[in-house]
This record gives sequence, structure tokens and C-alpha cells, in this order.
Amino acid sequence: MLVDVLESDEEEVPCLVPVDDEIPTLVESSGTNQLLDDNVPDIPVTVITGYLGAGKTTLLTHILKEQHGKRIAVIVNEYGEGEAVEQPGALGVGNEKYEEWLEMTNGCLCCAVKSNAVMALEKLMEKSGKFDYVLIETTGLADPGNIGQTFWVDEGLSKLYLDGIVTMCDAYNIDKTFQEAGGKLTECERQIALADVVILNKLDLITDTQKEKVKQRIQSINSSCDIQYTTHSRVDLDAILGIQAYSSAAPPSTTEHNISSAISTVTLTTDSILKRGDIEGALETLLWEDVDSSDSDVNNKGSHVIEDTGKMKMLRLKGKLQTSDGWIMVQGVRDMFDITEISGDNIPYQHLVFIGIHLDRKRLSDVTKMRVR
Amino acid sequence: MIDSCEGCGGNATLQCPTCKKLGLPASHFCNQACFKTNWSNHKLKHKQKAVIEAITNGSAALYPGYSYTGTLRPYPRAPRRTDLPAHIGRPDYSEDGKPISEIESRGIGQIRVLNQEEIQGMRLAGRLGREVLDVAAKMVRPGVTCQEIDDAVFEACVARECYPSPLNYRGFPKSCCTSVNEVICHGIPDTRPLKDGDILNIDITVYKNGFHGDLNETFLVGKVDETGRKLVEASYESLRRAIEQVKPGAKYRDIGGVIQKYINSCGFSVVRSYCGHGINQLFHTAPSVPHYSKNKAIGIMKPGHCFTIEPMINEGVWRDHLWPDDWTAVTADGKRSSQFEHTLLVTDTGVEILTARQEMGGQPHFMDNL
Repeated sequence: MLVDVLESDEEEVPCLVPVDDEIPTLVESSGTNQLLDDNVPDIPVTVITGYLGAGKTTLLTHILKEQHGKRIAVIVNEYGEGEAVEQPGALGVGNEKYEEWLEMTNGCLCCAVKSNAVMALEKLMEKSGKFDYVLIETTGLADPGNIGQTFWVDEGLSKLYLDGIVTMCDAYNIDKTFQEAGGKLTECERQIALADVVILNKLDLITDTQKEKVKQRIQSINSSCDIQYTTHSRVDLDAILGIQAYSSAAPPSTTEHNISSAISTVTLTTDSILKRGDIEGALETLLWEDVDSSDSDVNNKGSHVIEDTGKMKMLRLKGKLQTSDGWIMVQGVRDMFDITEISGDNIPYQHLVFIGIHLDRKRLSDVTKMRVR
Repeated sequence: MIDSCEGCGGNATLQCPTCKKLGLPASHFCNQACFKTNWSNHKLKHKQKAVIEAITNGSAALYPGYSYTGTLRPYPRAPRRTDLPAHIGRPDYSEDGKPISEIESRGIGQIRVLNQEEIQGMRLAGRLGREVLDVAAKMVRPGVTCQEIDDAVFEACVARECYPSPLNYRGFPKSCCTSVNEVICHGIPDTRPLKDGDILNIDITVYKNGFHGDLNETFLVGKVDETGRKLVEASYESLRRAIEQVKPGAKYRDIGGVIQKYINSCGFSVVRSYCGHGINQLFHTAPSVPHYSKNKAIGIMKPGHCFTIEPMINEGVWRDHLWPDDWTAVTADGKRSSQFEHTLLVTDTGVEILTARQEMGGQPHFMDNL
């Protein structure tokens, strides 16, 4: 029908218009292009985890107040436990507030590599302009490994990259939490295990002796994390933001403590030059074949005690090794790992650090052909 | 720079307002008299098929403000079909669009090893999916709409007592995906007639007795230019090479390297945002199989694993945009994209292509007429 109208219209010759009549005003190109521009710096994502009352919100407020001229997106993952389905996340940029549905689970969604959470953030940036930094605050009992894997995207896929996982601990309550668990696995331990930085908060509430005890406990779980001591969540922001934990792997700076804990750190070393293929093979065996990945990693009971199958389970892996093809860096979260080539400068010794549940030292050593340090 | 008059070739500073209104390339004229003289010829430009189609369908107004990366536009769609016979078994998302079983299995991440009975189920689903794609293939020619192809796919599924898996999967409105030219994947069948020179991917998944079989092919519509043909050939060859790697002990993360290396050598690029996937009683499950090198995909192939490889290969840049319909993935530069897909079973010795074509030595349809 419209075609007819068009034809009848065409019987009359229209008036010509000047060429430069009404040159439209140029419009800004859409945010998408800006996001894909290779010259735009990548955007770090820091996951902040810790129990309710540990001081996460105070830390966030502190960060937002300290920052000047930076657009920081804060995602508050409100209901972390249980449901592996879409969870509402409140999101604020500066003083603006958005309500978005962010899916915090990783894994395959209709054959899309990027998770919903990453895409939701990218979409938000298209709408509201680019962020300089993204902070994700998880709920008290959330497993940061899940969120960590979600944001540890393959190179070139997104402008967002995982900078690190920061775990807030309440110095006063942490000991109580461990004692109440009576040797059972707690979410608190898992959060410490996955932490690149542990902030030991509320130091004013404990004695120096207690502090030493808590410190040893944290180091027995994760001897490769940096520990920041503070009260009122006040920390040097350089120590927790922009740390590039997934593109650096310093050897553990502390000695291990003989506190028996289901979650622990094992550091392996070697003087030999290994073959890269052998290292990959060993990691595949340890991370994909040996370990227990049957549990869903979802804390269904809303309890701080997590299910213990008694089997070995990897949480975090990092290291720098010398191969016949040069130095490599190894990074891993749960069953996901990555190997990148690096320069061998300033590496004191070859190291491979495993943090996990029921780590079998002998097995780790046998498979990797490295010795426990 | 001074433009030349379409009528007499002299200097021109005026342009045809109708062309301007229709968004056609500017037509310049020296003056109204010259314009009038040439009007009967010139006005034919306004009747170009594409222009009339665009106006007839009002497609430009579908997503106002969205800047398309290429020339393709969405066309009106027929309503979602709800006339699937009751006796055909449906997946859990058929009513509300939510694949609950997929969502619940996601945290586990384990790649399932299928037993013999399940493998038989996958073989049947794969074979029937192939039959449905072959039905769709016969329809591809200029003038046919993807809506017509979708209807044929729906009927072919019903005839085989299969549920067309895409229908209402996360709300997808049609029975298959049809991706034209710059559409990378997940194009929604609509009433746009196919044009001579288009390339068209048809992606079919069927659900039979509780199992999904998933495959796609890209077709040449009429006469396609040489680059287009090369793109389609390269995307098929990259899938063929990737399938050669499939055997017990192979790593899922290594598949992408084989694809990317070959595609780079052809001067094309590999889409990174969409990947192959595990498939069984679930439409999409572990493992994820990226098609690019240097990925962190998890897992080693074992006999009994079922998954797809489905490289999407772009003529220009690999980056993708999403149309505001939240499904249609298009190339960021508007250049064409081509794809082929098979559902694969890892066997004791290698691989079985569950969606292999049963005729013409298994070659894809586009090769039949080369």
C-alpha cells in the first residue's frame, strides 16, 4: 500500500534543496565504540568479600571518599547465598544509583563466553559512560571463587579485568568463628584462601597476642596473601586496588605455620628446568582429574560451614617457573588456570603455590615433579 | 570539492530531496530545470527494492536511535507459534523460557560422560536435526523470507516429533536462528526476503526424547561475490580442521588455536564472544569451547563427551554488537560473518559427527553448486 503512495507522489517533481541545507549536527559516537577502543585503558575489577559486620561497607565508603576524579562503579551483591540464578545487585556510580540484575554465576549462557555480569557492566557503561574502576561487594557468605572466575575473562574479550580479591576479616570475631566451626570448613577460611589481600580489621578490639594468633591462622590458610592491619577499615588504597594479582605472582613471603586446617597453602619449588608441556599436564591432572569438583560450590544452607567431602579441592594457584622455553607465570582459580610467558627478572626462586582444601603434599609433589618447600 | 550534476555533468550545488529523505546516497543537480528534464530517469532510484522495502516495513523505526553497523535492518515478524502438537516432548523452558535444569547445573561445571543409552539418544537427535536443516536448505533462494524458512523448520520438526529447541529458549521467539550477512549468530527469522548475493546461516537444534541435536550451515543465496564465497569456505574449513583434533585426551582449550591459526592465514577473524558448548539433555552446558587461541577453557576430552564446535568467522573485525532485540549479534564493522556447526561425540578412537550430512559425502550444501 505504501508503495502505491510513493509512486503517486513521484508524479510531481519535487523542488531541489541546496546541498548544504541543514547539515545535521554531529552526534557523539556510541559508548560501545569507546569501550572497544584499544587506546582506552582496561578497567580493573576488585572483589571485596568478608562476613557481615567485617567492615566491607565502611571500606567502600572510605574508598569512594578518598577517590578524586575517578568514576567507580560499586556493585552490591545483595543475596549471595544459595540460588545460582539471577540475583539483584544494587549498583551506584558516584552518587548516581542504578538497579540492575546481575547474574553472578559463571559458566555457559547460551554459548556466550562472557557472563551476564560482565555483559551487564559493559551495557551499563554504554548507557552511562565509562568507569575507571569496578568494586564488587559480595554478601557475607558468598564464595568469591565464583565471582573471581566470572571476571577472569580471556584476554581481548572485555575491557574489564580481575585485579584481585580482597577479604575483610573482623579480628575480634574471626577466632570465634573458627572455634565455633569446631574444625569444620568455613566460608571464612575459603574467603581467606582466595584472597590476594586480607584486611584484618577492628584491631583495636584485640590484644597483640591475639593478633599474632589470628595472623598465624590466616597465614596457615593462605601464606601468599598480603595482610593489612587496620581499625575502622582504614587502609592504604594502593595496597588493595590496582594490585594486578592475576598478572603477578610473588613468592609467599611468610613461613607456613603448623596449625592444622583443612584449607592450607602448599608451596612447591624445584632447581630443574621443566618442560612447559609437563607443567600443563601436571596442572590438568591436579585441577581437572584429581580434585573433587562434584560439589556445587554453592552455600545452600546460608551457613558459614561449607560442605566437606574430604577430597582435595583447589581454590587458588599461582607461581613462576622456568621452562626450557623461558619463564612462565601460572595463575589459577579453582579448576580454571592460565599460563603466560614472562621475563625472568627478579624472580628469587621457582615456585608454585597451591591453596586449597585437603591438599595432598605428596601427590602435588609427585605429579609436578617438584619438592615441597 | 564540487559535485557534478547527475543530468548534465556540470557543477552542482543542489541535491534531490527525495533521495535525501530516503537516506540514499546524495544525487546532485545543477538546477531545477535540469532536474525536471531528468526526473523520469532519476525517480527510478527512489524505487530501488531495498528502499521500498525499508519504507513498507517501517523497519528503520523499529529501534529508533540505534545505529546499525551494517545495511541489514530488522523486518516485522510473525507471532510466536503456539501450535506445537501436545504429544511432542518439550524441554523445561518451553513454557516460561527459563532453562531451569541448565541454570541449576551451572555451578557443577563437570563435563558429563554419556552412557550408551544416552549416546543413542544423541545420535537420533543429531540425525533428525540434520534432516531438518536439509529441509531448510532446499528453500534457500532469493525472494524467500526467513519467516518462511522458520515455518518449514517448525513443520519439519513436528513431522519428526521433535521440539524446535530455540523456541522460547530464554524467550527466543522462533524455531531456528537465521543470520544474514553481517549477523554473526542468533538472527531472528523475519519477513525480509533473501536477496541475490546474501549469505545466510541457518542454525537448527531439535529436542527429541530428551536430547538436543545442534548444527548449522551457511548458504550462498544466488550469486555471491568471491570474498563472500571465500569467507564461507574458510569458516567451513576451520570447523573441519577443528573436528580433526577431537579425540580422547585432547584439550578443549586447544581447539581454538587450530581455528584461529587457519583463519588468520586466510585474512579473516574469529569471533570471541560466542563459543561451542556441551550438549546433551541440556541445550547448553559444560564444556565451553572457545574458537580463539589462548583461552582458559577447562577440561580434557573423554569418550562419551558431547559438544559442539561452531566457529563464527568475520570478513573484517572480530568484534560484535548486539541489536536492541537482545539476540541478533552483528559484526562491529558491518562486514559479513559465516559459521558452520556440528554436534560431536568423542569416541574411544576419535570423533563421531552426530549431525553429519548423509548425502554428497557429507559436504555442506554450499559446495553442491560451486
